[in-house]
Amino acid sequence: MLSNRREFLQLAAAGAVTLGAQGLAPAFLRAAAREASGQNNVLVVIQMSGGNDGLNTVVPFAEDRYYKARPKLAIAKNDVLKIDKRLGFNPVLRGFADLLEAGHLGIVQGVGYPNPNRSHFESMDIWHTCHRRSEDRNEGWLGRTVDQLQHAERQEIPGVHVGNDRLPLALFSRSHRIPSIQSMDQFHLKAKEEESMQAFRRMASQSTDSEGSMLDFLTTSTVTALDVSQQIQESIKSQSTAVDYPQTGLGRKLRSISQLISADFGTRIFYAEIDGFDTHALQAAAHTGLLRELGEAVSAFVEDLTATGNLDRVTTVCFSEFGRRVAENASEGTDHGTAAPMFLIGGQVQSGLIGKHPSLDDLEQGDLKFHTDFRQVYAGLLQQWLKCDSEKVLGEHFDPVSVIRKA
Amino acid sequence: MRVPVLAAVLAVFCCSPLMAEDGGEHLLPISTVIYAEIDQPGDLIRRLRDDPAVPALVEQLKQIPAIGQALEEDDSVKAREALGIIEAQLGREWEDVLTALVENGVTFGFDPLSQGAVLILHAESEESLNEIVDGLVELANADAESKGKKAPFQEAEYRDARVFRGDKFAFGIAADRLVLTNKSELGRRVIDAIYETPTESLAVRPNFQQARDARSEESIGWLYVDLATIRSASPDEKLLQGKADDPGGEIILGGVLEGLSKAPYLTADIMPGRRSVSASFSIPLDRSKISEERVHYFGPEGKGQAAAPIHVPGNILTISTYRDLALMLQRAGDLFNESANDGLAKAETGLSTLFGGRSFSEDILGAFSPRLQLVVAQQSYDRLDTKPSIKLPAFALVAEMRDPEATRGAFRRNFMNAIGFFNIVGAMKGNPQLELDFEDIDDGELISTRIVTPADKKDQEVVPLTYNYAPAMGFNDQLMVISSTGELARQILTQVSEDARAETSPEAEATANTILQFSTDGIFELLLANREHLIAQNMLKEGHTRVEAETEIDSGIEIVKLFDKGRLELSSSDDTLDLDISISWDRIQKAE
Amino acid sequence: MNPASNSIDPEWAWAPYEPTGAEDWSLAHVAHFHRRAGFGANWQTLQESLPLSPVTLATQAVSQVESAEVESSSQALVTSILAAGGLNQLPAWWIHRLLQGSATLREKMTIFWHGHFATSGAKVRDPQLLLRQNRLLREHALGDFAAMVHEVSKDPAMLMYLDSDSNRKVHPNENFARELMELFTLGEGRYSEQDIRELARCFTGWEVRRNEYRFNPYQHDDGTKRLFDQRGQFGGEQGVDIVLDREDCPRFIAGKLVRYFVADEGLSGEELIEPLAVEFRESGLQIAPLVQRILSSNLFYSEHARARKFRSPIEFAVGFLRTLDGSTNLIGFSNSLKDLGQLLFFPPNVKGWNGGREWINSSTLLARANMMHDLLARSETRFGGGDLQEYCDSQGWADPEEVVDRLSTLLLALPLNSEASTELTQLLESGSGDPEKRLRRALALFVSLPVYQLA
Repeated sequence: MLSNRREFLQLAAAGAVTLGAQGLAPAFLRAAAREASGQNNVLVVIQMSGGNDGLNTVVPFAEDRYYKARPKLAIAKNDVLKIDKRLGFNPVLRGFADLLEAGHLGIVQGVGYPNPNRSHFESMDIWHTCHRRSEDRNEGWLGRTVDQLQHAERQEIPGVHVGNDRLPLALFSRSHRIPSIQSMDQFHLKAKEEESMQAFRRMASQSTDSEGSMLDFLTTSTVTALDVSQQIQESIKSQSTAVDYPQTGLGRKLRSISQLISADFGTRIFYAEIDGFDTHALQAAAHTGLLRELGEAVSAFVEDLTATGNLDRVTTVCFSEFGRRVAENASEGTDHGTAAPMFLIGGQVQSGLIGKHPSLDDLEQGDLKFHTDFRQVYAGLLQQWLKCDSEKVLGEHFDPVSVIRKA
Repeated sequence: MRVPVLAAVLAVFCCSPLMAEDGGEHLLPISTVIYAEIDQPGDLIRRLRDDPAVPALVEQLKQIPAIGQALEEDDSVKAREALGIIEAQLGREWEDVLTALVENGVTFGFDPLSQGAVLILHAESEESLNEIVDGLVELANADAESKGKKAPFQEAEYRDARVFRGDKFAFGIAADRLVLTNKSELGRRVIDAIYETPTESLAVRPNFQQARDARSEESIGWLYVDLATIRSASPDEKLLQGKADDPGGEIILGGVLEGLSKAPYLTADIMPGRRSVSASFSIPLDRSKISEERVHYFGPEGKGQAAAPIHVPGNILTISTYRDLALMLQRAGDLFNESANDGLAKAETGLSTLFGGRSFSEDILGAFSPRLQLVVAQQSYDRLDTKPSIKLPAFALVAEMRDPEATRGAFRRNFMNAIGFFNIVGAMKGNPQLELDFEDIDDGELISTRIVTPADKKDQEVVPLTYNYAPAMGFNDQLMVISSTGELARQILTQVSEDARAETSPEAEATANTILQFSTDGIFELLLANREHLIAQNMLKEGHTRVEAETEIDSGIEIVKLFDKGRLELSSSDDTLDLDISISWDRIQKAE
Repeated sequence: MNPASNSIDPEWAWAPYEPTGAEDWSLAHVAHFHRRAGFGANWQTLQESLPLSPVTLATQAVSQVESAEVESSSQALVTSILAAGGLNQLPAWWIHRLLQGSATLREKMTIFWHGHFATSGAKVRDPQLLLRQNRLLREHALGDFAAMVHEVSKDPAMLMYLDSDSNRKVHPNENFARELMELFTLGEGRYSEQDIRELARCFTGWEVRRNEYRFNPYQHDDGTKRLFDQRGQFGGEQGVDIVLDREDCPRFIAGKLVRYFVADEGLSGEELIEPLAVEFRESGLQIAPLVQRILSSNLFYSEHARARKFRSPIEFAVGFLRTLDGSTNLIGFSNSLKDLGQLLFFPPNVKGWNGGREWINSSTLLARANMMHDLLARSETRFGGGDLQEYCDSQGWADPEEVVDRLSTLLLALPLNSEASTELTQLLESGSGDPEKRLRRALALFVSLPVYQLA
């Protein structure tokens, strides 16, 4: 049986290449083709906008300096969810702790970049483009990644941004348009009446033109679109009962992403944002709420990916444009800082702590010193996960961080 | 159990002869949850017909472009022709026909058991009722026949009543009453009740009787809704659960929702004035049983009272209310769900950052008493050499400081910091700068700002919205005013000092929890000033041609002009929560 | 399969089309012209165009001037939109012109230049600046290409979009210099990296201050530059002139216009474009004669051109309403074009919209179908100011068969196959719901069909 399946996949792959010179083969053929060629991995990026307080996310509870610097905001040693003898999660990140236990979560510590900029916009642009202000910033690192992936194998929709905000600069590409979608409604046909739907399918699938012609291309694309619509509706139906997503902004976005991954029309890159991390005053309640939203949404997402059998081909990464200062301010908040942890989530990620926690004894003007350049994390994701040439995307060589578990 | 039954029986004995004269409640089943009646519709119609203002109103309505056009359209011409045919058939004017049908009252009821609605018209006499119904049925049958359709109504008999069954509804004539319903079962019960007063009807329900006793004598129409039954029948109905679950909804409706979740019933009286109409909604609510978490809404012991509404020249809208926002936020854990609370925490962080790190909910909101006012008024643009292309009204928030001495200084500094910050950001973006002015007004002070138009922007063709705002902050005794213009802040401060001198204690007048009053003068002027903008937006949003857009916008402006002012008042007594709404159209009189 | 493009004789291709018989000049030919030179035309316009010759049609099209009435209502909309600071309403403003305007070729060319000199409101947030650029493009849309490039080079929105709003001597910004040659004038690979660096030096000292272009002599590098085969102390204007003088420039522009007006696929080879390029160059880069020539040529009316364009989202949506005298909520309408991939004033990147097959994928096709579904379900959507049923009646289209037939002639570049035609007729005759709704639903399906996506 197994060898038959293997053969079938190869055949399907060959068939898809012949049929779909323009990437038009029916979805199941395309999926099979990708599986056979290894082009199946998906990257989901979650942007935590505003500057997440890394120290209250992954808490260095063994350090006195942490408690000295944060008399009001520090999280008590007894409350943290312990990662090891020195570090623990914020107590609302129960979901993250469970993922770590299961070997599905990696924490890259002390991520930043040289000469950090403390403006939200500027620092965010640096993370998105990997370029400083003086350089050309018309495309983002994921946009360049898409260009490369599309060159290797054209997908109908190479990337998707889920959200109402405008398209993040990271997804700007010189040659491809990456859609922003607000809701899954955009992916299914609205015509309700069954009779007209059927009539439409019949009418749309009639092509009298020769193969490869423009009309033939349109006919095939329309049939594919109808299939996609149907697949998504089916995956929505089957999912709605399976996993209970939290009724939050991020929860809804991740549910949409999971539905799009299940429907599988070849999208490799997804992007979602959660805003509000700029906690200058009365941080505790707001930050707790945000981390709860993050933790609950990501846990539900992983549960869903496990149920749909996609966990091993999806890696999720969470980042923020900077961390916050070590010392709290006078308003029970924290101000813009520098290095902070990034999180990697998925079935194949390098689980556990990656890199060293920045020292609280060796600060630079009250800020943590970074250990790992964010572009090293990008390089790891690009090379080990998306199988891309990271130098082309990042513009220069960065030693990749091991983000994926070695097989 | 026994006591209410006994009471009910007694009540029937005592009241039924009187009730039979009064309304239709004895005709409706005891399970009726919505009941409405109009006492003397005949009088109302006659009064309208004889009122000299009505023809003037009709003329004015015809002047409204949209209505004028509609009157010339096919459908409306056909409708008038049909009325003409009816008049010819019955040999009397249609106003007469209508009056004859409803002379002795109109009753409406909804019964959830049968899912039926029923309308009972009490006609002037049995004879003329039969005559009119015969005429109308004949007409309907003739019309159907001419179109080749079957007769719309089948006549039958039920007891002594003539019954007509149609596709979607049926009606019957029993004595001098016309009964229309969508459920024949309900119709039969009503007809039974017409012939012999039943022992069990809505009239014996204690709640109903209690509500009925409280009915105002001046009202011409009355509504009763059995909330308790509706609540128990549909426990998922969000409106009756007592929770708004979001801060905005809680501020506006929190207390009303609490009332709806507890009260056994709701009543409404409609009262006509000479050039006005008002409606009073009321639910029983025991002040002493108001829950802890709604103290922010009703005040301690339910006695929170709004200040007398401020009235300034060009007033468009004033809302004066009692709301303890700081207390509401402290109670947020009980009032809102987790996600709303997370949202509040985020907002608190952001707002506290704005106020230099002081807690917004405790330090900022807590600095004020719960008596808040929002004043919206027209603004004159004399102060500006550059006038905004879209003209927005000025608005101001008026609050009482708990500790004027401490609060005044802190807010003065915050205000000046904010203006400084605005100027720095504005300079980078090429926005106009604001210049601060300080002045004393009576016993108070005013810090206002003035827009300094940049030299290269003086003759720009389109002036942005920001030119509508030149914020100001003023103090008088324990009052603080934050306003979008210095002009409005000055007017409010002056008005407040005048009221204080005029020794009529406004405290005595105001007993309401919330008062909202508006005047259409200001709205009218505002619409007129922005007519071009409204027309353009209509073209964009409706896809209208310019002519179509002009018709629609001008009609809207004309309709606003018909009205004069309105008032909405939410108040509570020891045992009720009342909402009074009134609107007047005195302007028609003036137009004569 | 397709006729190989190298078999096209350039001389024949660009010679004026001279129909000899009725089958050479039918409603289908006239409809083709209006779809390409504008956004489609209603039945009456088709009838009026039929007696005219191909050359007359094209000549009229390049010389149309917008009516005073449309200009004045367009201006009123601008004032209202700017007063409210509405970047988001800019697309609706342009859509109003596209639907109501009479100078349709000029609008179509303005869209062409908007994609060519792509500048996005996502980065340049100031609606006044975007409108100023839009006016510039419209003014020169059928005028002098060199003058347009010169003005675009100093356009504040453009300079801001390409991060060129502060260009200093010590650190020349190569971004604008690169795009000027690669995207605006010559095409990729028609210059060296050295040319980019030298041209960037020419632009040093060009700045935007308080939303206006300004030359800052202190930041200008006035040393000698070597640009292509020329040496001198060139400033930015001279730099632009030198680039415009390259032979690659008229070739690049003429080639792009041919793709825009004639066909997305099946045309290639420099020989085909060469006669147009030479003429364009000799005219001093005058755009109108070039476009007039293309739109009246043998090639334009040939099998190489008919139904060989994918409808852009604008052509798809605006074409539909214009053809049936439709009007609707312009804000909802223009914003829904975003999901189709073409939100005016918001091109996706510096290259503008690539067009062709890139318009079409599952997401955009579903968006097209859903947009039409919503559009036809909206109460604001009217045809000739009223119901669709009334509109068909007023056109004298008696029965469902005739309705389908007329719609095909008006809207389609290829005949509707008989199966689809039968299905649609049946939907109109016997579907559920009231007739107006049925008609609207059938029309929504009609324009979602693969064949309607061709222009």
